[in-house]
Amino acid sequence: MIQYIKRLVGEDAKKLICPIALSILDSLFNSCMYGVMLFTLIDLSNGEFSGQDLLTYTLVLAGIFVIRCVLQAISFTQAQCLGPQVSRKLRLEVGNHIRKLNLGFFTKNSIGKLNSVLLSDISDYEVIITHCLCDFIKVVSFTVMSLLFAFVINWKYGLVMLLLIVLALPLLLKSGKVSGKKAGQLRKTNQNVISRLVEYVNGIKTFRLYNLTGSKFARLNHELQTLRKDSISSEIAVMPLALSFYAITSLIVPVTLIMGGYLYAAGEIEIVRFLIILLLSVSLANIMGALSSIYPQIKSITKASENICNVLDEKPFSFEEEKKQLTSFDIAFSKVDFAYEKNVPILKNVSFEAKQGTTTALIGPSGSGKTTIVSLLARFWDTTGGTISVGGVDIKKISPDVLTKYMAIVFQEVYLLNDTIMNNIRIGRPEATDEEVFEAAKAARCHEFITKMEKGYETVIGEGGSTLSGGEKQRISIARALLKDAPIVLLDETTSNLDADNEKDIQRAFDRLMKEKTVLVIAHRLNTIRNADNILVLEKGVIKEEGTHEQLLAEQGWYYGICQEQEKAREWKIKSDQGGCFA
Amino acid sequence: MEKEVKKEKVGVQYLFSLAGRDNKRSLYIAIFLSSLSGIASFVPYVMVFRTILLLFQDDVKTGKVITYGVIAVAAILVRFLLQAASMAMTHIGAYDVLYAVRKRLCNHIGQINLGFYTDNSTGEIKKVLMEDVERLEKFLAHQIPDITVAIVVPITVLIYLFTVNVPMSLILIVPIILTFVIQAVEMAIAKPVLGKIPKVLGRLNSGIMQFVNGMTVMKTYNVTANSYKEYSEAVNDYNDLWVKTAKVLAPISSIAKVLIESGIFFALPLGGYLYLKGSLELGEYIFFIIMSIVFLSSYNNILNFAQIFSQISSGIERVKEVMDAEEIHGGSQEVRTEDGYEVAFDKVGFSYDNKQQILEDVDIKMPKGTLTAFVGASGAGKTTAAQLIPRFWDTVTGKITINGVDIKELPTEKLMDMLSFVFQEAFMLNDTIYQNIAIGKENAVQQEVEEAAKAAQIHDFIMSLPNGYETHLGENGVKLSGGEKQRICIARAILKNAPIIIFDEATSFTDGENEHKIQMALDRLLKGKTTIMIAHRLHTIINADQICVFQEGKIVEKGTHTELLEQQGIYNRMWNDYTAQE
Repeated sequence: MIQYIKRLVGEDAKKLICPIALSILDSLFNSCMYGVMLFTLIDLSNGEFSGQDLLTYTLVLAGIFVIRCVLQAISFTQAQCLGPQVSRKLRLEVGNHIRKLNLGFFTKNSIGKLNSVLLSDISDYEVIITHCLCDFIKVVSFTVMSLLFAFVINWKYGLVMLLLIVLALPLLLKSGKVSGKKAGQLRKTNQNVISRLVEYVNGIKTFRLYNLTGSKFARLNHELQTLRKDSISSEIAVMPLALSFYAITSLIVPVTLIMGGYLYAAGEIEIVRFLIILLLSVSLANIMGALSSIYPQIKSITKASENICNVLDEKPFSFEEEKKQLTSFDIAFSKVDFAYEKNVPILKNVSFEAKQGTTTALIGPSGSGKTTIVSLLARFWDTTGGTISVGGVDIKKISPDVLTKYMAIVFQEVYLLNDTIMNNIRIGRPEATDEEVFEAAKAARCHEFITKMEKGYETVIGEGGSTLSGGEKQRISIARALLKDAPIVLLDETTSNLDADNEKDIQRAFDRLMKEKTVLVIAHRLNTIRNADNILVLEKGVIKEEGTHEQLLAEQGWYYGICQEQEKAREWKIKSDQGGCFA
Repeated sequence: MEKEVKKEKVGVQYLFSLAGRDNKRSLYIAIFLSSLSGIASFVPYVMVFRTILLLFQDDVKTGKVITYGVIAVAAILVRFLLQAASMAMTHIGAYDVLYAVRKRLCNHIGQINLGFYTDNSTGEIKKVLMEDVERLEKFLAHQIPDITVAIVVPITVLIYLFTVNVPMSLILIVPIILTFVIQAVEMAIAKPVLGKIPKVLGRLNSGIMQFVNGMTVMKTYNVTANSYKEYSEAVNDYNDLWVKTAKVLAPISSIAKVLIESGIFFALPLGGYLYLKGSLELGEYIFFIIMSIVFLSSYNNILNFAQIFSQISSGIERVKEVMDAEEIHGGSQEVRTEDGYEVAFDKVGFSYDNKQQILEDVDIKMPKGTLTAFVGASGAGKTTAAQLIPRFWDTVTGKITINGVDIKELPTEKLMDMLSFVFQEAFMLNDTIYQNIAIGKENAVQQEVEEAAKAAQIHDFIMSLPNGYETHLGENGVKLSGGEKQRICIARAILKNAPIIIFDEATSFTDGENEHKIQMALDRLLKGKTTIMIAHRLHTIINADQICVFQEGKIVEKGTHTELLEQQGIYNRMWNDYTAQE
């Protein structure tokens, strides 16, 4: 636990020293209260208790009370303030860290897991600092002091107390282990529920149409039931262990009674000591109860820290020169191999060159590796073999942030931030003036529909851009890319959800974006393909054909075939020659 | 204060109304058991008291002390058995309640107006269903028993203590009263701050989700956790709020913490005074000193009560907000089938927010077995009009009828049974291909699924995958192209075999070869059905029985392809644009 705290708290660890020291001091003063009690008992049993004594003891108690209030107030407030600060720091640190990881990380670790690390795990971890840590230290230091005191009173008695605690301790440790394990399981179950829930929300229209909402949606219901079962079983698994620990340590009181009786009868202790050990046993049993509830909590929270550390331990992309800049933009793939998973190659021995200022069109069936080529160039992943260079520089040698600075990328799946349209475009170049944003929007053919909206550029769009149509989203992302004005353009032309008149606008926007740049385009429009300086036909991760439109037609290969198919598709009309279709 | 208590009671009662009666009863039993166990926990202290009394008699009988010890052991055993039983019951009960509430919520969000999903992000919905509901567990399984024990046990013990000595018993209550006063002060101070927590947490939740989900954007535009405002501001606000709260509340609650541990500070002076005055026996005095340690410890559990409770009630409020969103209710009418279904829009008007009119006066008659195409610019209202048919939204004015029956009068399930809707954005379950098709029909058999796949021109593709129909889609599974996904959706719809079909045509896909297959699949799907096609590529609908041209929420032209071309109006212009492009 300590190593996690040290690691995750980082430089703020020093700030923890003060609240911890104060907690220990506080438990010392707490023991002083018992000391006063002790003196009172001694005086009482000796029959020497006087009004003067009473006054002194009362004043001392009042003093201790005030001091403890001050100590507690300082240490508790410090811990309470430090906790949120640490989680703030961690959220930023983890957030920045995952940015540097390759995108493969985001599929391997489901996004739900990252979300829960950033949200719940960090919040759980915060609880360690705000509550558990100081309480735990207090409990432990108080226990140690009480045991020492027990030995001073009578070593046999001290030994028996120690034995009882040592006997019960494995149960507590076990409960911690079980609770940690169960917490891990439960987290998994929780993630399953979340991903089912997200599926449910995203597909709500489909589920409704197939009458699969609510309890009829057995998949979600099943996960909810599993969650219920696992939650119960995790509580039930920990409870007997923690309770047995508590039960055994509660025996401290009766054991003291019995043992004290014997010791007293044997003349080993006198009345005063008997009274003292009674008092001691009551407070010791009491504090053990507190320990039994704090400990499993700490254990399960340690699991949260482990999760955070696991994310932080993921290695970010390596690169050699932080400041290295690019000056020319010839792109070269040299014998590039790539696989997301071992033994499932996606790209095999891909080599091609794209000179600065030319357009290269990538075509081929889905799954042939077009998107992968573009992603590798942006270094979302690293090649498994071969090299990719830009302007003669191996892209593994430069910082990924510098690399993407030279690239404008328009994806098929457009992700817009939950922010104003203005800010969504401006992300392309944060220092751009409003005028420049308008210019880009006009060039991307979205100025018109934006200004039609009630709040214009200040319209806040929903998560993922949910309040805009697919075409509108795409045009905003083109405006973003135009504003960036990067020398390399990576483009996925696939326009899967656009209206006919939208499409015209988009095509103009695309053309504008590609003007005078080095372009790698996953092409879909015949126009783009025809005008490309080079066409790469991909199939199953291999470049099958390469050349200009005319060259490829002349080859009469795959490309030729696809052009024929397209002719056929264009002539198709619903209800045409399909005899009896609507008869 | 009074008003506040009343409001929260409504919150908790609301919770139980969602959870059902059975759970309530088992909770009562559990509370009873844990109260008994709490009382048993004081028996050992009484035995200690007896021993002390014994010590101050002249002849101490060791045998008696040992009997006291044995009684204490028995009491401890009873106590923990009862506690175990009670804890098991509360936890089972609590998670049953959580399950019931979650199930109710899922059911409900499946029935409500889809506008809800535009107003609430997935992150927010997730937060309500997972985190807000989870908090109820703390309340049901821990807080309710804790607080009952903290009230019942001290009262019982107090009754016993009163029989020993009245003023000393009263002084033990003083710290409790003080703690309650402090809690009330905390509540009053925290109220405005704590009210902000759900909002701040909600923002944090959605900031994190966006940052993670939009990672490609973050990477390509060099957006860091610090520079992405939605994220960094949410993180900072969360921090600021807690630090601000802690600075005010922590010192006050520290005093409460110390108070609970300082029973001796009250018992010792008064006891000493009474002892010196002669109205308190020595043994009794010592007993009260010991009791002052343990009497208050049961209050430790409820120290955070104020804070946690207000978090829970705001959670319940969020749950209630979601539950209060209006459901779409069906009627009980039936559609008479005369071998076919006729769909008609009758002066339909629609608006999402009652401000901006999206549809106005839309009148369409779609006879049985005909094909109607909706065309027009994006935002003209054609998709919205189509989405009114499955009641994703309800018409504001006018009505939509099927064979003359208003769709609002139909049972929702029956309405859905009549419809198939193929969306542009194909939705895939995170499951096998087989399951993705099979959801089209309850209890579909393998053969039916395969036949549907064959008809949708996707069977051969599926068989070419290593795992065939058992291929898993989704995060770790195979990625399908848009065209393949759409053909799976068509297979699903073919399996469903609904008489009315709404097809939102996708404009284009990457692969030419896919396209023709989709067209063939579509031919099969639409055979003999009443069809509405939201069309983007005008050449596909040349043979439609009628084409409705949408412009700014109104139908401006209606007719067949040839009729509309002759009108030389908007459709004619669209057609010219379209053919010029191709």
